[in-house]
Amino acid sequence: MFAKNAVLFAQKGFKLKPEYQLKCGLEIHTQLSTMKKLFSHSKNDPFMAISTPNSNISMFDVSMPGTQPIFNYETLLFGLKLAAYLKCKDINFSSKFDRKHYFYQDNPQGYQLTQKFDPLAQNGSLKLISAIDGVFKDKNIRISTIQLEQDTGKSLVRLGESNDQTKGLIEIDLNRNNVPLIELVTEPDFESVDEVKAFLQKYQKIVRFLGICRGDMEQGTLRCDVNVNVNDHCLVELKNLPTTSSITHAIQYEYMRQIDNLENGYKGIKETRNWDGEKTVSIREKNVAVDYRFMPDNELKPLKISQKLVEQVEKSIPFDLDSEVLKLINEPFKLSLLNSNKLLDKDENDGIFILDYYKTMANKYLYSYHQGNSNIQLLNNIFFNDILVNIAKIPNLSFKEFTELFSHESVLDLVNLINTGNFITRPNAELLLNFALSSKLKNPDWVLFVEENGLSKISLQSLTQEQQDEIYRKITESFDPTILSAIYKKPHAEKKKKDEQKFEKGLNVAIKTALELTNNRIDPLDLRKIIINHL
Amino acid sequence: MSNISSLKELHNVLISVNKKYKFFNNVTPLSQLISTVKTDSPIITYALKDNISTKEHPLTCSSKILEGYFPNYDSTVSSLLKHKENWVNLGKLNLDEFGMGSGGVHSANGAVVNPIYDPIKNEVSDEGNFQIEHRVTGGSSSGSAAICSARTPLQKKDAIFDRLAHFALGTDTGGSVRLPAAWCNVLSFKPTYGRISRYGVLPYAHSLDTVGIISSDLKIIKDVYDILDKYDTKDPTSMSESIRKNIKKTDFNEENDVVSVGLIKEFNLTAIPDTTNQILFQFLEGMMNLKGSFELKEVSVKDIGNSLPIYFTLAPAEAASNLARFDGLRYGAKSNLEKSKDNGMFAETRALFGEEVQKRILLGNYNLSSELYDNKYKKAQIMRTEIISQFNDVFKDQHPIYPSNKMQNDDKVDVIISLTGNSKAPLLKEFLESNSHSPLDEFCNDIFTIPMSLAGIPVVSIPIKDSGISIQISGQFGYDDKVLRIAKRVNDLLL
Repeated sequence: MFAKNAVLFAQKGFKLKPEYQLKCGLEIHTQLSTMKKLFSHSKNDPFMAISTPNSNISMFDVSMPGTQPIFNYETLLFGLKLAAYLKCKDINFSSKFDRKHYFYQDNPQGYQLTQKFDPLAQNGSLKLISAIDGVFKDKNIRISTIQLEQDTGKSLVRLGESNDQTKGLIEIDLNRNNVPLIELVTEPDFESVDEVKAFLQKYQKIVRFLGICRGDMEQGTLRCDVNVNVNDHCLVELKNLPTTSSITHAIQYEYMRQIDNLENGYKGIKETRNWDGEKTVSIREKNVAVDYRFMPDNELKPLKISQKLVEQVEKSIPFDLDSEVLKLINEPFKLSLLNSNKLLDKDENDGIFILDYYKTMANKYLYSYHQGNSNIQLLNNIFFNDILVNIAKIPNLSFKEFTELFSHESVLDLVNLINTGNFITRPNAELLLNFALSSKLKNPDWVLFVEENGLSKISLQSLTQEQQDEIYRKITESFDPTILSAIYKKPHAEKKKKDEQKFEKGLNVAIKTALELTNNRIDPLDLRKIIINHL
Repeated sequence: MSNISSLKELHNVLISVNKKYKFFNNVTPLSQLISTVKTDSPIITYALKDNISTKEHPLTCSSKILEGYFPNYDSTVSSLLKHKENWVNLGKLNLDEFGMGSGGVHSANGAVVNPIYDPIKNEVSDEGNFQIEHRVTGGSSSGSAAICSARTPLQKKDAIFDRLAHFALGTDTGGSVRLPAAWCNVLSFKPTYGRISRYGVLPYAHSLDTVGIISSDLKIIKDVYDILDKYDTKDPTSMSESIRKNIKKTDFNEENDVVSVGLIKEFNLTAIPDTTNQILFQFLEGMMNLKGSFELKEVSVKDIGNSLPIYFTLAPAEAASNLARFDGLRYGAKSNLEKSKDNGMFAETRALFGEEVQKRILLGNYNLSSELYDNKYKKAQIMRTEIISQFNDVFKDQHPIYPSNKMQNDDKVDVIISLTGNSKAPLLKEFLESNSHSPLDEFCNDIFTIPMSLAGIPVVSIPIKDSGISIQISGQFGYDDKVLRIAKRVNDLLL
């Protein structure tokens, strides 16, 4: 009875109740994208090898007796990068591995190698900024530990027809076993679901930017457990949260469930609960939890690092994402948050490279390479909505290839031509650009191109009344202006919002028709004037 | 006789005596033996304790849980020995299950018979002979010690060697090579921890485990050690090239010097049988009579009395961890009673471990349990480092990893001499009886061998004539060559 209500609640606008304070902490597992596994030379690529189970395995990965762990130092560099980025105050110059014992079919050693007693780094922080991360107010989230550890294998229950003898058989794939993970644990600093969401999105951008993880929850390279409590009552650990939305819903459900408990005079118990897609279900109470019998692994030497290495790692991080975003969304670039994120997402289109290209080009435009005045919005528009969109559409055209074809000046020449207002219309500029890109022309001579192909702009002033009438007549051949005309003629007091929307929609269709009729040579704003004058 | 026919004779002997003596878990098939002999040059015969992986043999560790397991790869030690021309691996030797035991009695294949007290005869021996006192071989490298001790029943002209093998490899965690060698009256060597690769060797307690060499001939031990003493990238605990080099630079030949020998004052000699003490004192007297060769000094390893409790806190804990992988899923035996269920503890399969192994796994897990961890495992680790540093202060040579803070003075010694065991091999009946009364008694057999294992230092154990009593010569960490050189001088004295 209660469960249903809570789900309902979670789906319709969820709100925190002021008398019940939500507190959350996160444990994030980040699968590192190193070439090799944590303690063996096997290939680290569990997602790609999903259809070939047990192909990326070595004798150590299957825990053959007598084989020993050989540490992959690349993982240490990845860990240090994250620790440096999250400003960890305590970077351990001699971190160690420990064995965490438990029996499970996809845990072939009978223990997991992790860093319980001497983790790689501690006491970091990540600030959520309202202007960037969409949180209500700026908020500092403290990071308590960053540690390296092994991922486990995967167990799959075989599906099949009911008469199939092998149905229900547990199949074990060890491709993921011994893949390096970073476990990051935050302090319980989250006071709303939005903060959790913002943190996860931000963290995802960071690991991609640092190039240490693919950073997606769908493929399981980022996995998150959430600790939740209400008014400092018993802590509940939520597991099995494969997507951001399951995290959101599970926290919301759990908040409502714990409040319901408290209101019924029940204080709850410390426990671990699974999210089943609808509700949280208890899997075990913490006080009867398995004893992991932690033990230092004295086969593995401490990971000795020097101050110098830490400094080198710090230097290898090109910049801080937040300060870069703030630079991009403010004067003089005035980018939208969305576009500035596009420039900083390393995974898509080799982001950092695009950022460099954009900034050099924009600076040239702003400070020297323009005629009369610079119009940064126009440049942003051309760059993001035309150039980047087209590159993504055109087969076999990478951004790198684009930079070899188009100098900054070549792009700016076109922007300047549009900006003069009387040489080419915006729609024809788009077509021209698209043609140049798909034909892979090198630094096209825009002026020559426009003149040879008769694409130059026709201004409103140069058109006689007869010519304007002729244009309108042609439009009406394929477009019925009756409705437009009727709304237009309505007395102002009778015009409703709905009417205006309908009017704009109709007008846009008319303009589109007109553009086609005039080969895009007349500015859409001028066409608008012509049409309205005739209504 | 040709090499081939000698091997045939030997193989026949091994097969026929093994039923009774249980030296081997697996004798290499004759065809395979013959195929490794390439030339007419002399054959060297050896065998490996059955916790060392080889491509050609199954690996059992004398445990039911590994039934049917074939490693299909060579341990580093096995592959190093394979490359020697005309060196023949006779097979895999019986042991206390997973190396756990000091009598050679805890084996799924049965207890190894000590060949000193029940020598191999040409004719089939009378099983009901009351004259024979059945004594244990010692463990856990029971088969390794026994075949190096057992004299061949073959005529001299037919035999390759006067024992069943030139040498055997064992493993020594707390005395597992030294004690059986002492009880079988042969020489043995436990090198410094990290000198010989453990890759492919099944771990019992990985911070203590070493591969050791047993033989009736010290020269053979030295030759084998020289082959195996190599850095191995596959073993993270292998001693690095640079440390090996540094030790070599400071380990000079002391041939004309007086060797100073330390006797540890904390070893309580009053608890040792008079007969043993007599043999030891006679031997020490003999050493002193060689003027200008040895000088005896009393040295102190203050906390050496803690060794046993440290050992049975740490070793079972590491064992519990190392044996956690045996769940029957990927290799070895799987119990038919195992059903898929939620708790997934593999209890039925893990019940295939023998009693002694189960006992130590339980003890180990108890020591690691979260409430006891600080007071048991962690405390024992701290106490172990104290013992290491106390040993460190005794030797003239500098520890290559943890240099001593104590000033160099005249009290320091080149090596320490102590007993290996406090009596000769006990009667099988008494051994089993004592074990059933007090399960921890078995650890006490290793009271003289465990301290050196905790410190990771090299030890040679040498039998005093035919007494059944051996002495240990141990030196600074890494100074294996020095210990072997001094052992040779002592051994020459005994001959």
